[in-house]
Amino acid sequence: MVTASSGRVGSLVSPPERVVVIGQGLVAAVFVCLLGWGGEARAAGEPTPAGAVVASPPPSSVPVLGFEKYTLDNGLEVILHQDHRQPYTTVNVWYHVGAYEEEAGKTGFAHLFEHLMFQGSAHVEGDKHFKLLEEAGGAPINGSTDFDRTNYYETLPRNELELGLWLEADRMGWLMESMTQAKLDEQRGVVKNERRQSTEAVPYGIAEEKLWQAVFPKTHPYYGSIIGSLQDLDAASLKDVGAFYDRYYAPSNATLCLVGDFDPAAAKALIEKYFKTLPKWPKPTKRNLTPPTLAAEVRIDHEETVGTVPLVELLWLTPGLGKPGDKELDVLAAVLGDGIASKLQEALLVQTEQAQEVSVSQNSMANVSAFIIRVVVRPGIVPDDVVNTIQSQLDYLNDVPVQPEEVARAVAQIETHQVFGLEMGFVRADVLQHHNQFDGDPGALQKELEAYRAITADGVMAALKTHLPKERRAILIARPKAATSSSTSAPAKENK
Amino acid sequence: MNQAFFVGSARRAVLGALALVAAVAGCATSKDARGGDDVRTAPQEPWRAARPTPGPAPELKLPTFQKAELKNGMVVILVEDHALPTIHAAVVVKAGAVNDGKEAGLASLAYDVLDEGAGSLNAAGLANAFADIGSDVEASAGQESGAVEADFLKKYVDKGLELLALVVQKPTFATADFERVKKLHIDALKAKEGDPDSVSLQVMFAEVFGADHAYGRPYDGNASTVEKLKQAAAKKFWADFAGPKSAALVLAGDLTLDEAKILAEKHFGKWKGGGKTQKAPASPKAKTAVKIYVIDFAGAPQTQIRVARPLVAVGDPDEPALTVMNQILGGMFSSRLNLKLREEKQWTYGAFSTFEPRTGAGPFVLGADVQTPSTGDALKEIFDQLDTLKTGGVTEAELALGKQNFVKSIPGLFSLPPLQVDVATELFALGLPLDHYVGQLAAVNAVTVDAVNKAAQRAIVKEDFVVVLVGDRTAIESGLKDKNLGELMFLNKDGTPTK
Repeated sequence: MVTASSGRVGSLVSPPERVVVIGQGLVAAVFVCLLGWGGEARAAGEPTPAGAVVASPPPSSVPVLGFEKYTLDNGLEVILHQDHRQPYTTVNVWYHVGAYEEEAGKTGFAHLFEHLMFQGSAHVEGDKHFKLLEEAGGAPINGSTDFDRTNYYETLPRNELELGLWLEADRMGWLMESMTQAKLDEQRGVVKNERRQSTEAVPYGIAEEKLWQAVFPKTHPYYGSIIGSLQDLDAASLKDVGAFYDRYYAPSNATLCLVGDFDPAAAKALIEKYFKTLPKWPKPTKRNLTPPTLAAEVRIDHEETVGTVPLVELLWLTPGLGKPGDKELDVLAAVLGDGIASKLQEALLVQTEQAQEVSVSQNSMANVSAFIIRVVVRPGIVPDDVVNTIQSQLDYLNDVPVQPEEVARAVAQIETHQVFGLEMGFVRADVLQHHNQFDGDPGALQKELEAYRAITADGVMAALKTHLPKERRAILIARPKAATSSSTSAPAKENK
Repeated sequence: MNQAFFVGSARRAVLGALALVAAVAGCATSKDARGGDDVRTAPQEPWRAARPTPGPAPELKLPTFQKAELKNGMVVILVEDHALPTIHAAVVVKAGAVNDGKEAGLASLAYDVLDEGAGSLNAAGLANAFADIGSDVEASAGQESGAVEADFLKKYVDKGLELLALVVQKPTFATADFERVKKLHIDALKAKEGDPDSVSLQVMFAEVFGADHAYGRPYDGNASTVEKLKQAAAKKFWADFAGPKSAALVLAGDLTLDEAKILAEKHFGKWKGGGKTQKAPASPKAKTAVKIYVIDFAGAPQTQIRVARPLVAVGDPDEPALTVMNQILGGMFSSRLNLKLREEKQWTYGAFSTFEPRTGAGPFVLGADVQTPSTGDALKEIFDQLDTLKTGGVTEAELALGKQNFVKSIPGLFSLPPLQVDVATELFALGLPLDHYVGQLAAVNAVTVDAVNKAAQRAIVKEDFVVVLVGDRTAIESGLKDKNLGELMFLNKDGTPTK
């Protein structure tokens, strides 16, 4: 996939979350949604009868998430979610900025910040940020950049919650006080190394970047992937960096989420102590860009220098996160590529034995999504034959459409991912944040599953016909340098 | 569908960033770098300079493994956790790559074919049956054992265990599926030939244990051994070794022990046969002189150094003392090897040591990936560090740090249900008690300086070490000869000997 440091996970069908929680009276909340479980989840003690076929789906197992949400005067949103299973608390901050906010000529800034934010602030010297967290037993400690948001988080033992809040507040308010040209130069160097490691040295990294850049106009913020252009980064001045920071890393553009073992009254007092005096600053507005489309088929042929077997990738630009068709395409991706019985795995791994690996995904992003079929080809197979196998499977759906049981299967998998995803506290924080940013409601997970459950086989077929037409596909074929001649001349013996 | 896979890569990015920046001094200035008028300036609040004082540390809680046994001898292990309606299930079988005999790669292939059809279900039918309940099944072999695993929601527990039971009790091993999966294994093994990491491991284990030893063979075989594997052999492997007496059902999640027992008896109670046991691999004969194997990768920017020998089997009374010794030598950031090679000499991003008790004496490995020109010096330094530890012993301060570091690492092993399943699976496979880590914590806390020093005598037997170097031969050869640390043996990229 075309990714920068963090992988572009836009929609996450289910960044997980979970619950447990809270229970005591919540005061002073602007937005309180009460906790507890979905009634059925608790009643799930009875095993279903052996051999029963799932005709109508059993009640949802997605628990109701208990949380409290409020906003400080300076615009910082706070989401609190208690989970007392383990004596740990995750401190998680989302800045509602990603590559989408970058302007042409200044790409890569959001990701550059993911680095600069770990290099100290006015009251936290140099690389102390990371060291203090590590000494305190923090794990995981992390940050990631996406097209539409950036996150930072640390999971700490209960008694070190204040350390996490102190560090997050310091880099939200006092980052530039300790910023220097030397730090900026250093991190530019690190980002270049990261590009080498994550793109150039990885099988198909360059090839997939080419495909990505072939489908987005240069003026679109998704064009540069997340890591951005190295020229733009080289041209960045301290002043540019400061302006980006002031605009997008202010409290009004951030949401702080705590998940774990804390006392809510004490946590609120600490949040006030550390974040209240950060000055209020205008909340930036999101640009309204028209989603790009492909006018005609695009094809990229790439000579691969890292991967040792060919790669075939098909990509369509599809509706953005949560737009009509987005969820249907999630379901279609599962029908096509999830498990050995899925259409493309069966065709490519079992029937023709043309492939080593097959994966299909709807990569949901706010402005526009990318539906990607990715096939690692077996040695000796002609890549164009793989393209033909894929297309004939898609065409065949016109005669034998997607069946209701296939949709039910896909939705059952989505439900599983949603619930299991709630096991880890730090991921659960991301789930609350995700729904907060994109649905305006941290607890929208259940509604999300209901929306998936309402999808019909006809709806999936309509999405296929509307959004994945042959004439608007982009094709990538990456052939290993050494194998180029042999793989194009060898007959595809098992191709039918 | 997107899953949250970004976590790992982002963390690596951050760690990488920190590593490369370690040299920058903290150069905070009071001058704001932005300039201009329209800047967001936070207030002067000097109290923020102090790191917040932590409260009392929370007590460490290890989860309890509950255990039951079915009438046919199969063990059931449960970690009860009712926070979410989720179940993690695994059937672990005490048969892995050590049971391969002369057919290297057999266990790896047999487990991989296991989920390609069972009972009356073919590969697609089985996959769909799991998918209908939002689940999928995964089978894979390890060194001493293997496991078949599936996760499902509580509401599907009965069906999920029924399917899991079907897979382990009635796998089809259909010829077409076997041949198809075998081809994929061969492709993957061919792709690994010439990969520095896998060649280095292969040469190291073959030289430490012997090419025919159970721990000396590559656990997934190589293209030529897998090519010869027959479907009947995979079937026989499973029939011989898998059975209720050599297997456990491990569950973590929303179940009580009573529920678990009833479900296990219903689905696994009629399982019979199998259970053939394998003796623990014998320790290889001690070597008498250091041999240094140089695997030539022309143009490699760094040299992978690995120094290894066999050490102890599970249950060895010296394990707690060796654990602390290993922490001090190379098992933590502030270990001797890392401080010397990384911090002081700056030859490497990190140096390490580790040892792995297995059913037979398992490997003790130390090393670092170093800049090419420092190869000879780094290897000499590693040997010097080993000598110093053996002759000079450790200090009380090192002892305390080593213990503390080990103790801190334990809760992470148990933090989530899938990890709890992994721990229980490993304990069962190695024949260790389920409260093993509770015992280890106490034993490690009781280790003395004297015990660590004795452990060092046992672990550091210089002439028994095998050294494997993967790097650019022309760039490192003369530096190595100068140091005269052992007999040099040269190998090609594929591991075959050369002059």
